[in-house]
Amino acid sequence: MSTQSAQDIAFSASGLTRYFGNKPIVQQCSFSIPRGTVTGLLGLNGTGKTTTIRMLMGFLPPTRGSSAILGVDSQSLTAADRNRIGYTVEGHFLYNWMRVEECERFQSGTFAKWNGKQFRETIERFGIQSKSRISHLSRGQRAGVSLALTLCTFPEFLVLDDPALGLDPVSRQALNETILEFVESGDRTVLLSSHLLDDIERIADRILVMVDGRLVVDSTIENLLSRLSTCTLETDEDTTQLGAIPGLVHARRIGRRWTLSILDMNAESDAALSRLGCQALDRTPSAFNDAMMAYLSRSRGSSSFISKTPSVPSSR
Amino acid sequence: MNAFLRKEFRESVRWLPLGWLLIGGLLWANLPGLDQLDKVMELATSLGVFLAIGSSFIALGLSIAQFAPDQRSAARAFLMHRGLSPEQLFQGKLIIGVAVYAMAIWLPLLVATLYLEWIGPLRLPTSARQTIPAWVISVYAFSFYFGGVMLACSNARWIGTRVLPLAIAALITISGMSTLLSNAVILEWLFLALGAFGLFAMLRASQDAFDNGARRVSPGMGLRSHWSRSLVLTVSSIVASMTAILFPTNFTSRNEIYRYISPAFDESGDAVYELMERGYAVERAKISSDPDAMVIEKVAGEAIIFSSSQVYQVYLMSTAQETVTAQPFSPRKLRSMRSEVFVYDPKGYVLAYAAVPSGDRTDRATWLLSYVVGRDKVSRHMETRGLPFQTKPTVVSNNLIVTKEGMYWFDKEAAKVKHIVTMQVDGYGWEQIATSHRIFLVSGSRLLEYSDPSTLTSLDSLQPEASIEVGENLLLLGMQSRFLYKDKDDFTVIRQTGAFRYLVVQKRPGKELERFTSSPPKSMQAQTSHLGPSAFYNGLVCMALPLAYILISGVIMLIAVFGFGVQMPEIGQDGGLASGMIEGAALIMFQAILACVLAYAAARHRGLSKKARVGWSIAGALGGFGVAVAIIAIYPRCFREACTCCKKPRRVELLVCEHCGSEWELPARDGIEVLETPSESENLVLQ
Repeated sequence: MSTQSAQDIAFSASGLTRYFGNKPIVQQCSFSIPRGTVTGLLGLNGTGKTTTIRMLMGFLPPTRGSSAILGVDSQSLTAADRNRIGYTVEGHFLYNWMRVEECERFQSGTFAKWNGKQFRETIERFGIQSKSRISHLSRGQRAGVSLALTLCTFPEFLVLDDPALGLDPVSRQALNETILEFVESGDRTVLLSSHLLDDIERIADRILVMVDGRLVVDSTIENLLSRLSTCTLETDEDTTQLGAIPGLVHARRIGRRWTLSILDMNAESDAALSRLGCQALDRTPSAFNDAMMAYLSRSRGSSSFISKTPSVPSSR
Repeated sequence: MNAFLRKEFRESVRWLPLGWLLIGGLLWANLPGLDQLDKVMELATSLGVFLAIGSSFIALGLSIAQFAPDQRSAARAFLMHRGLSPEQLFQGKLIIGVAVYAMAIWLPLLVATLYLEWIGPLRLPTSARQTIPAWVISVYAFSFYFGGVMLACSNARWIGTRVLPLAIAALITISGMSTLLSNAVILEWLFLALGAFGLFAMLRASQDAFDNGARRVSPGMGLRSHWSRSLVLTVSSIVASMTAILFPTNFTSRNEIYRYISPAFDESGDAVYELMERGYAVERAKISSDPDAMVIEKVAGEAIIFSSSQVYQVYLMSTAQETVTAQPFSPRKLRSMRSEVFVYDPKGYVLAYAAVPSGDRTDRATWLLSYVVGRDKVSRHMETRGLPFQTKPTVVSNNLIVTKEGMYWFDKEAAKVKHIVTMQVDGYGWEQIATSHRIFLVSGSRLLEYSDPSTLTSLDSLQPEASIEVGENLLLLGMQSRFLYKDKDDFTVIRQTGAFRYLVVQKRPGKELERFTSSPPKSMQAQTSHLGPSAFYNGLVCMALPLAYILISGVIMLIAVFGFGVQMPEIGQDGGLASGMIEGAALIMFQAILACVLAYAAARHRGLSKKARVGWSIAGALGGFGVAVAIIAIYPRCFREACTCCKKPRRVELLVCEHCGSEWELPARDGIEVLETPSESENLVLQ
């Protein structure tokens, strides 16, 4: 790949693998995220999202493989590189003994650039007083301070590890608005890990989906949805032979009705359905939520693509 | 950076009162009151020892308080992800660590130093110099700070591996305590230099541990980039394993009856060997130049008595050793009388203090400097003092001082000092009988006896009452020596020269001087535990001492004997020592082989290369069991997975199988993947 194209890639990983003990948590993940995109990183708990982000940010050495930010190996990021990257850690870690204004002073003193006006505006959006002590803030307010601290350093690249974890709807909305404003303010690249599909759909234009430590989706949302179809059919048979359908991502059964999510549905898939004696009642392009539910419901195993009741509760 | 320093200071300074409480308490307990003259003699040592303990605790606690909270993954990411490099963050923490440490320890110590300078030497023989060891030790005890950083940043599963660096921190602190030892300049500076290097290595090692966090030395990479951490962990492991093996020796021979052989004179005045048990003789044999003439006689519970007339037990002090072993920062009490105390000032003077009764309490007398004796005059104040003595003086009577240059007489009223014996004095001793003194001086191989010279009127020509050529130096290894002596008319000197060898010099009226070396009868020797505690103890010592230590000690001994002509203690040819040495050597060799095998096994377990395994095995043979522990502490565990190609277990961190060279297969695809980044584009990264 040419140097020019390498500079167009914000985040990349190549064969990224991490073991904890003798258990592989992340397995040979390879991806590249172009500059100027917002990428959602999705996966169930324990699938390796945070581990991947920690490796990407250079806080955890990979067992094998490598990752890079703007072509710089993650394990060799310099202070100058970090000045260009905003990162909020899972759980919004802050020093509890500090006041909000002390947090601001600490952050502004340890980064090359600082936008104090934006900081004050952001914390106002979350209803936070600058004199408040961090230990006295609600979870949503902590998230607000954390996000404000990150965004006000003028990052070109933003990595958010589950920023909306445990937030109430109002705080979530404020958080999303802040992130959206940041995205719209220029050529910014964001990698956002979250369980909240609506938020991802609203903000992201690319997604990475991890299942059991493997990367199964690395695509634009548009491309994924154009290739994934939802197919409804009725049958009395409790079949496990659905696995023979090419591209079947997930099958969900409610009563006699089956809802299948099939990737790249074509004549071959139709033929497989016919062989099973099933007739498709309906065939539509998948909605984002359905597509993600199909992938996230999937876990490795012999009949992992089948669930008889919705296995993932609604994100709303 | 300033913002980071402020934050670190705020977090650390709250522990300061605890530090002040600890150090303030220790200083309060150790500083002498104005009536505690004796306490001044031990002040440098007690301050040093207690400050070593207190400083170690503070340094360790401070580093853990500073570094441990940042080791949680979220906290570490929050701290490390900023426009400051890890080196800057470490330096910032270190700067604050040093500042808080200085405030906790050096501020109170400064107050103590000023107090000692203020009260001395007029009211007590104190000076700021006495705190110098404490200052040095507190610097070396800062190694515990680095040990604490390594402990906090370690991700070792076993607590024993985590606390390993504290072993070398203890060693470095002890090396700082060598300032308390003596004037043995070369050794002291060697220890201090080694300690300083250890401190530097620990600084680097702790920075390495902080920078790399959970990352341990990969088996694939050389130790060069992590030399400091590897060195610290290796030395610590060796020290810790030696300590662990030697620990049971604390519990050996506690209940043993300790028997030893001592020379004495019996009731008839003949020289005898006595087998002693709990201070009483149980067997006795008359000393003779003919070993077959020594007949053992059982005696029941007889106390050894030296106070019978004309029989003295004299301890010879070596002037050379006195000079070398004198603490450079501590005064030493030379002689104490009812209301007057002579104190040696390390600057080279004898200070005389007079008691000033304090109210009704005679036991609570305070002291006042009454006069100062120098080489050329006696003065009333330190400010008007004369020339200092060139070597450490010793006051042997009210007005006599012995140094390596001879004997001095002084008169405080006339403010005069006179050099009355001008010869090189290698050793001296004295015995007080009633009110008179007998003073013994050793010069080369001559022993001279002076009888109460302080009563002489003419001091210009002081002659010895007795002078005897004993044929060899009475001072073993330049150290102090004990000899038994009978009156000058019937002169007998017995001095122990080796484990079971004695020098006997006899001069009887009308006979020639007889000189011979003698050993007690073998049956008497066999009953002693003179060679040390049990075989169990010796076995543990041999298992603990690394081969390298034995070899280095041997080389030093050879250099001392052949290079500097140091006289070594004799090893009994027929005693148990020679056979014990063979057993010990065999045990050391066994230990070296076992340690070598263990090191190889540990290196193999950690997946090291063949070259590294051989290197570590050699290190194991030389360094003992600790090397195997070091390998486990330095390198991470090695995990393996079955190779899909050759089915053999392959290491998970290597890109290709070490057996068949195949690369890792991509995870099996289910046909549902939507991957826009082709897996072949690995080379994108790091281009």
